Amino acid sequence: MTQIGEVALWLALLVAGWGAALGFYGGRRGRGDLVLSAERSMFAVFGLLLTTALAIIAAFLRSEFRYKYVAGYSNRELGVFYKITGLWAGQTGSLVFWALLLSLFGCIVVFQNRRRNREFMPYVTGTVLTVLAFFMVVVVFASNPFELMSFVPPDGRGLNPQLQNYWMTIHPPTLYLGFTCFTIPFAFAVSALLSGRLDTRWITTTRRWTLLAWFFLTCGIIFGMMWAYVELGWGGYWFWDPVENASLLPWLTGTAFLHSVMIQEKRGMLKMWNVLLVMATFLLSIFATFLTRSGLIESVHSFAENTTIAFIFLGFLSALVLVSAGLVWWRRHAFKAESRLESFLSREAAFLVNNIVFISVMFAVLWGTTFPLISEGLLGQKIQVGPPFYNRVNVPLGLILLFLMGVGPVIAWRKATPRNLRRNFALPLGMGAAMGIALLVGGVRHPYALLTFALATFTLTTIVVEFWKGTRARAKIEGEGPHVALLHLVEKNRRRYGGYVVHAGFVICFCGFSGKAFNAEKTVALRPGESVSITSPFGSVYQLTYQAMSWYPATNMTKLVATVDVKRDGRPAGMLAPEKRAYKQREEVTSEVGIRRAWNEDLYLIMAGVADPDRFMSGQDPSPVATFKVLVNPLVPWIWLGGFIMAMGTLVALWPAPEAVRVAVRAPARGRVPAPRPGLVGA
Amino acid sequence: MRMRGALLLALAAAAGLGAAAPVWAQARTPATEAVALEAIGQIRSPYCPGLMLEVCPSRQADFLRDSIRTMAAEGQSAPQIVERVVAAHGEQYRALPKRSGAGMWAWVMPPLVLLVGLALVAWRIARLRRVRAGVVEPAASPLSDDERARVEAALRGFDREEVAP
Repeated sequence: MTQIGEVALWLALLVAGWGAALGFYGGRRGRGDLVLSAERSMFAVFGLLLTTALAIIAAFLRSEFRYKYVAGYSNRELGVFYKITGLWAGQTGSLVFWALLLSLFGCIVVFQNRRRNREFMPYVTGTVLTVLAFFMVVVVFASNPFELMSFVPPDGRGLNPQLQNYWMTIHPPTLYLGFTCFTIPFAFAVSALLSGRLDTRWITTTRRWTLLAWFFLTCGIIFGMMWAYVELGWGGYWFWDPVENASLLPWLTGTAFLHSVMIQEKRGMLKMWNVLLVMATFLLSIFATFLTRSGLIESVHSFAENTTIAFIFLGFLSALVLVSAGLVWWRRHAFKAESRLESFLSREAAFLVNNIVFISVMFAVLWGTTFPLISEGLLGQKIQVGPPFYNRVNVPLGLILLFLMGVGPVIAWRKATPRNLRRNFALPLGMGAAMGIALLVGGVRHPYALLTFALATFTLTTIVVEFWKGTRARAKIEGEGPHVALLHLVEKNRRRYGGYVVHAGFVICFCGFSGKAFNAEKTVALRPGESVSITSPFGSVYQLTYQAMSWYPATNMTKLVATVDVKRDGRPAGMLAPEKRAYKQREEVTSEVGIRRAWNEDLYLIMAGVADPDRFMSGQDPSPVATFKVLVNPLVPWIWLGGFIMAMGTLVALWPAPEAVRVAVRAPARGRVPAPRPGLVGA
Repeated sequence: MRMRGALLLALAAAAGLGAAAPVWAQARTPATEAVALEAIGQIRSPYCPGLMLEVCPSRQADFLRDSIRTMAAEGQSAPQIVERVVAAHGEQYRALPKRSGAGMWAWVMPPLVLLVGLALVAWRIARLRRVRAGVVEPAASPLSDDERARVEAALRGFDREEVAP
C-alpha cells in the first residue's frame, strides 16, 4: 500500500505539471481539447493524492516505523484516532494534506464550472495545478513522507502530547481548508487578469468560495484559541505567537476583501484594490505555511525540520509576488472605476476606511512578526516583539473597526445627509453613551474595556434596529407575523442579514477579549482538606478545597490527578480535576487544566506542582502538598459564543438563495473556450 | 519507569512554588503587585523559548517573577525593573521594543501605514471634489407626478434588495 502511495505521489507531480502547462497553453491558444485535458488532470491529481494520503494513514495504522515520518509522530500505544490525524501532525504529512484539500477544491471548481465561466477555467485550472505542483515538488524532493529510517526502531517517538487533544485534531484541517480555499478566488483573479475580463463576474463567481474560505479560517482560528486555552495551561487563548499571527494575516485581508467587493459590485469602484486584496490573501496563506515550516522565527507552534523547505517556499513566494504584481501592472489600464467616491460621509468611504484599518492591523501584525528578522538584517540588532506590542498597537485599531462595524452597514451610499445620520445613529449613539456612563458609574475604570462596551452597544443597537426595521416593514407590507416576517427577511437577503449576524458575533467576541482587563489570579500551596478563596470581578466568591491526589497509569501515559471541590458563594458548584500527564516515549510532562464554565466567566485551575511526588507515588505520603494556580477569566465564554455566532452568520450568508436555484443558465458546452477578447490578451 | 521518573522530576521542580512565604513578601502591597505584573508582562522568559515570563511554567521563571516582585516592593518602577532584568539576561528578552533607537521603527511604521492610507482617501475625495466643481451639470428637468411615483417605487425596491455586509 505504501509503495502505491509513493508512486501515486510521483505521478501526481507529473500530472499536475502537465495539467498546469496545458491549462495556460490551451487558454492562450483557445484550444478546448487541451483545456479539457487540464481539467481532467485535476481529477487525476486528486485521486493520486488521495491514494498517497491513504497510504500514509495506512502506514500509521500499521505502525510501520521504517518510515521516518511514522516513527516520528506515533508509537504503538497511540490511539487509532490520533494515528489517523498523524497525517497532519508533522510537516511532511501536513503538506500532503494541504495539497489533497486544494486538489479537492480544484475538482469542485472544475465540476461547478463545466458549463459556465469557460473563459476563466483554463487559467483557473492552470493556476490551481501550478500551486499543487509546487506543493508536490516540496513533498517529493524536500520532505518525503516515505523516507526510510536507516534502521527500523521497535517503537515510534509518539505524537507530541500537546497535539493529543480533540481541538488539535480539527484545528489544523480547518485552517488548511481556509488557506487552500483562498486559492480559488486567487485563481479566478489571475484568470480575470489573463483573460482581461475584470468586471464583477469573477467576484460574483467566487463570492461563495471567499465566504467559505473565510468561514473555515475563522473556525480554524477559534479552534486554535480553544486548543491553546485548554491545552497550553496558562489561562490564555491568544499569544501573538508568529504562527498564530500567520493564520490571522490572511484572515485580515480576506475580511477586508469581503467588504470591498461590495463597493465594486454596487458602484464599480476599487477594481484594482480587490484584485490586490485577494492576491495578498492567497500570498499570506502561503506565507503562513512558509512561516510555520521555515524555523526562521521562533515559535512554540512551529514544526520546522529543515531549512531547504524554507528556501523553496521563499522562492515560490517571491515568484508569486513578482507574477502577481506583473499581471496587475500589465492590466493597470483596465481597472477604470465606473463611479467616484463623493464624500467621507458615505458607505463607500466607511468601507474604504474599514479596509485601511484592516490592512493597518495586518501590517502591524506582519511588521511585528518579521521585525526580529528585519531589525537584525537592516539595523544590525535583533529586536524581539512580544504580545504587549501587538496589544498596544492593535487594540485602538480594533476599537475603530468596532465603531465602523456599526457605521458601515447603515450609512447611506454616495453621500449621507444630516437627516440620514440623525435617523440612523441617534439611538445607537445614545445607547452606547448610556452603556459607557452606566459602567463608569458602576466602577469600571479600564479605559479600553469601557470603550469596548460602549462601542459594542452602539454597534449591536444598529444591528438590532436594522433587523427591527426590516421585520416591521415586511410584516406591514406582506401582512406576516413578526417571527415569519423575520424569517422571510433573512431568507430573502441572506448575505445582508448573515453579515449582520457575523457582525453581532464579532462584537460579542470583542466583549470577551475585553474581559482580560478584569482577570483575577492566585497561586497557593495546599494540603488535602485546605481551601483557597478567590473573588471574581462579578462579585462571586469561589472557594476551592483540595480533596485528594491520585495517580494511575493510562494508555500511552501516566496521570496524576488532583480532586478539588468547588463552592460558589457558599453553594456546591462541582468538582475540578486538574492533571499532570507524563507521556510514553516523549518523556514530556503536560498539564491538563480544570475549567468550570459559566455564562459570564471561567474558573480555571492549573496544578502547578506536587511536593515530593516520589514519596506520594511510592505510597509513603498519601496527602502531598500541591501548588495550584487559580484564575477567574471573565467573559471568556463570550469569545466562543461570538465565534459560534460568526460561523452561523457566515453559513446564513453562504446558503444558496432561492433565486440562485431558479436561475440555472445553460452555457457553452464543456471543452469550448471562448476566444480571448481582442486587444486584451497579449496586450 | 523512565516516564514515571520524568513525572516525578517535573513535579518536584514545580513544587517549590508557593511552599513558604518569603520574609520580603510582607512588603508587598496591591500597588507593588500591579507594578510587578506590569514589568512581568513586558519580559520574555529566558527559560521557556517563545513564551512570556508571565506564563512560563519553569521553576527558574518562578524565581525570576519573585525577584521582580521584590524589586517592585523595594519601590522600583516597572521600566526600571524591565531594564534591570534585560541588563542581566539580554536584550532579546525585552517583549516591548524601546521607543528609541532601532526599536523606534517597530512603533512608527504601523500608525504610519494607517495615516498614509487615510491621507490617500482624503486626497482622492478632495481631488474628485475639485474636478466636480469644474463640471457644469445639466439642469435637472422637473419630474411629473407619475415619474416621481415610479422613481420612489423603484427606490423602495432598491432599499429592500440592498446588499450589506
